[in-house]
Amino acid sequence: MAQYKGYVGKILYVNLTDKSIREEPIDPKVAEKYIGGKGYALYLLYYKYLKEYMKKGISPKDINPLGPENVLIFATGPITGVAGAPSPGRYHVMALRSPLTGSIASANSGGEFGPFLKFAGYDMVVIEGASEKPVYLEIVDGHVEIKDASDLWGKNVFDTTRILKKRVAEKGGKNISVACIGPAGENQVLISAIVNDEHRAAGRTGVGAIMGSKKLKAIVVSGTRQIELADPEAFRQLSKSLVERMRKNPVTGEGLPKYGTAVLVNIINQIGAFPYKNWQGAYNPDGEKISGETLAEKYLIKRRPCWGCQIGCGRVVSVKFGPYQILYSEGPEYESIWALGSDTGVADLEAIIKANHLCDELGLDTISMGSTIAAAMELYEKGYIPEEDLQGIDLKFSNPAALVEAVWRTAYKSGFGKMLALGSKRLTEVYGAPELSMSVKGLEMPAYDPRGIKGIGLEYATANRGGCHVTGYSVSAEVLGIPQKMDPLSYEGKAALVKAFQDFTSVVNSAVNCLFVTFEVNAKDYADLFNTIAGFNFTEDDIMKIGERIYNLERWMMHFYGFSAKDDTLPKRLLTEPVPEGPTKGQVVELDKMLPEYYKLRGWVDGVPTLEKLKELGIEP
Amino acid sequence: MPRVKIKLFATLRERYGRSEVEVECDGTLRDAVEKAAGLLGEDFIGEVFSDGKPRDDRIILVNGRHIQFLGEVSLRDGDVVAIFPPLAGG
Repeated sequence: MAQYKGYVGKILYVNLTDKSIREEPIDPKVAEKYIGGKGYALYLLYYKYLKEYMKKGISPKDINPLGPENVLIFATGPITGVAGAPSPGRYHVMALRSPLTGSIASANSGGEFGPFLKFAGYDMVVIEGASEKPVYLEIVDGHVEIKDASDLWGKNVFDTTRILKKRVAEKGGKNISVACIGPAGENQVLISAIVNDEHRAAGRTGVGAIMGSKKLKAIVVSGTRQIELADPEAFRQLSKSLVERMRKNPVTGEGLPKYGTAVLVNIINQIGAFPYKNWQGAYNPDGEKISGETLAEKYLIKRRPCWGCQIGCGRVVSVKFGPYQILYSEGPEYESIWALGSDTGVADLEAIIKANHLCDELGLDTISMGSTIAAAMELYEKGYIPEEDLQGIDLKFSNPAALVEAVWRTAYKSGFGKMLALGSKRLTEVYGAPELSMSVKGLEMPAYDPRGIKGIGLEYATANRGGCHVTGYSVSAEVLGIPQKMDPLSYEGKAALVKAFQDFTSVVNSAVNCLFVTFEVNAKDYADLFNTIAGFNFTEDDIMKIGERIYNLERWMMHFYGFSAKDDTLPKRLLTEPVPEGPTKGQVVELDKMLPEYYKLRGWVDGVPTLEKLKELGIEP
Repeated sequence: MPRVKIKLFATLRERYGRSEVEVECDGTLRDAVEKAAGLLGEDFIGEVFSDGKPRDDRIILVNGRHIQFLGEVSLRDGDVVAIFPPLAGG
């Protein structure tokens, strides 16, 4: 079979139980249907592992996400690492099962790791089994070794990264990147992250804990492999045109480069969809204090783009004085400011920067961390948590000191940190008020209140990995007017909008490049990119169909874990508690005005793809 | 004559040197913007309006609602008009 270009063409399999290492080629027939990244990884997880387990009589519901039977995949696609492609610096992490949600684990990150994995000689790394002792994986110019990590275990993300980069550099390695876990992942904190390049995180669904359960401390990659293109001249022309369009687009060419994602704080707050104090409100009176404008004015030093990115939304910041001093940090992103700031009621941007920094240093998902702390704050203020459990921390809303204390304790499961380490769903269940967890399928929701932006409510309810916005970022249309403006307070057209975004985003996560390019780059452009880079023959319709296929395969897999329509819902607060004040006062989410239409468009019954739907999409059940 | 606030965000703050102005107007958005232009400079009218209509490449909110979905805008005392250049996020 002829190999497609753009890919390296190889998948690395590492079994940490028996320490075996093997490779398999990228299968062109799979690539045609699932591309790479998330899609291809899903294909492997289902056909190579989940179905095989079922054949052996293992019930999917018995798969322990923190057991050796879980499988963790780091995946790139044909666009990753292609210089000149729109923002080609991303990679996607998938696992059979998330310890936080019990559904499929899925996370995405930027930086340099994705491209450098390809330069090191592999499109993907599949981690099976578990090691008895801490190890790290070293991949240098196609040479793979499982190495002892006993001297790294316990170290934070920065130490681990720098030590490993130095080791490989001393051997002459070029283009070196490290993806690792910090103490949080080692301690199997359910909301822990994998952090690469010190400040970029594959954060959500507890992938850090999965890596920790396998005693895999880090993966270091290095190499100089060239990526071949199918039609270099046509790609060159396409790249020129797309990059020029992105430059002229006010979002990718001005808004994001100038203010980063934090620019959203003021706008989402002004429309009354900025969740405040564990979603008790949707308008934050201190929004300005924690805005992108304030961040740029007071703390920004410079921008930092991911590898090959033409947008450059990454922030480098410095807090020079005071109790939350940190002379060099990156971020915080809009989501992190919201979760650690507005959701907790903390209005001190320096404390938020510090808390965000700790999340990188120790390896924690900022969204789940902030949201879990906010849930704890509400539990405490309402009298559900006995004081002695907090060991002297006054974990009340708006307390910046308590915020910072809570973060590092979570990583080490120290004191009350061991409760925060469970994530908000289990935390609130333990303390007898599960309705105070602002999560869907166990994953804490991000920074948009659906009472003020109805479509994102449908997205949260139906995103396969749980409460997630990027799976189908309808905010783009509902607030930012891209591709066209839709009324955030209306239910009309939202089902079709969310489905389209979810399908298209599945392709972006399989490419793998950055979602932010899609403020300018469309499905037809992706077809052209895949065709000129890899040699496919895709049309715009093919792109959307591939996306739909990927989305449905994931949904099909989830149902084996027991997920169905009953899990496609929102916390009671959003369905029944009207926003108390601000521009969206009085609003709730009427999910039943969107969900039935969504299921109809999806072709799902009880939230599960029908066998006809699977057949239509060419998915072998 | 209603007194309304016009709030500016992101790059508009740099462009006009202010984050907020308060003006008295006749209740129409057009008049409020023209009064604000008296403080911010004539360019401000073109920032908000194009061909006599509010620009659709600006996010213009009145009390948090996109003007597209408000129909005829009638400003009252204490209303807040928020103007953003095109933005993005995550």
